[in-house]
Amino acid sequence: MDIREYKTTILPIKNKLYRFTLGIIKDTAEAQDVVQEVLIKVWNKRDELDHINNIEAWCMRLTKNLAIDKLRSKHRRTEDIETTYSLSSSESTPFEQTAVKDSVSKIKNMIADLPQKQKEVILLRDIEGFSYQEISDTLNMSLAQVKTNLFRARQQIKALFLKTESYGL
Amino acid sequence: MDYKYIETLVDKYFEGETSLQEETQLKDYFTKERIHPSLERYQGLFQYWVDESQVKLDDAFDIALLEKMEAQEAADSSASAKPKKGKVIQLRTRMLYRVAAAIALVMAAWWSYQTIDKGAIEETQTAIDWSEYEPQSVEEAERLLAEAFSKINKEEKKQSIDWSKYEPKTVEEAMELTTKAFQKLSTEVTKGTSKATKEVSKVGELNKFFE
Repeated sequence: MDIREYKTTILPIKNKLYRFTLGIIKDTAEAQDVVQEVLIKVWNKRDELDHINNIEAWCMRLTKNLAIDKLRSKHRRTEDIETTYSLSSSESTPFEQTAVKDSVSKIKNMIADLPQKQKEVILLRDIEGFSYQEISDTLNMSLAQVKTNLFRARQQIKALFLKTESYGL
Repeated sequence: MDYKYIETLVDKYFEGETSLQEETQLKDYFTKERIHPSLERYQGLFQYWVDESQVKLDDAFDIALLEKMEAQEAADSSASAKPKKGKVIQLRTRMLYRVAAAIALVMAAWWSYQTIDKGAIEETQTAIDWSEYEPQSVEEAERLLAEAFSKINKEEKKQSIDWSKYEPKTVEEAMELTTKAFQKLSTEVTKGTSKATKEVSKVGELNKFFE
């Protein structure tokens, strides 16, 4: 693969990789670093790309692993992710929760609170519009696991919506 | 679009039973149409999915990425141009470079010392009239020469060191001593280089005052 081919086949995936990374680690600068690292790795392995069936799915997996590694090292340096999120939700009063019920940050927090696999599935489905099969290929999951994770993720979001709604009434 | 239909779709959505096409209908409804009050609470969610799907990296990212790739390529090609050697050989080569640098430094120091010394001698020569120290006869010259040799011999005896006690007894000991000597030399040379760099930077700073 030469640079021209790389620009036409690999580089256009960058935005999907970026959005997926953002869904995992949220910080834009760090997400850009992850995507850059992935794209350089892909370039370094350009001679092996012929053996890969689904390059996009492979890139997404690479991105996911790097993003999770980055997230882990970040939280080792600061504090546990679950503690952070549970603290932030317990500190806000019902009034505050109602006030921000439709805000982007609230939805972001809802998604961030999801278990990792559920989060990955819902991000690929609802942001990227991936089919179940594409999600299955990307995340190395069976179709049944994809459906279960998606169902659980959406159920949890619905429950959080209803909870927020009840605070407002 | 009929809000009842959308309500059904929303229920299906949370059950994880919607198709991609139905999910697109939901996103379109919540971002493009007038939303029925009973559905308003879900607007934020579908709006969020649509907004997030439009997030993109800018051109600056591409430029930075391609620059980094080019830099890496250049570094890789220059590295591959050199013959690939084992780690031990590379270390040895590095050591040789250090020794060569050390020898070059010593030679430079010696040369500069010689130059300064010669200059000093030349200055002295112009100041002193050596003719009054010249021997007046062959006998006197021979006597002076004999005295000089005896003085040199005495000094040599005084300064003579019994090197035999420092000689390594085994090959391993010799290797160890040589390695230590090279390491010491290398450390000193490195110190000298860093000091020289600091001095050069100081000179650079001084230049600013004269500009």
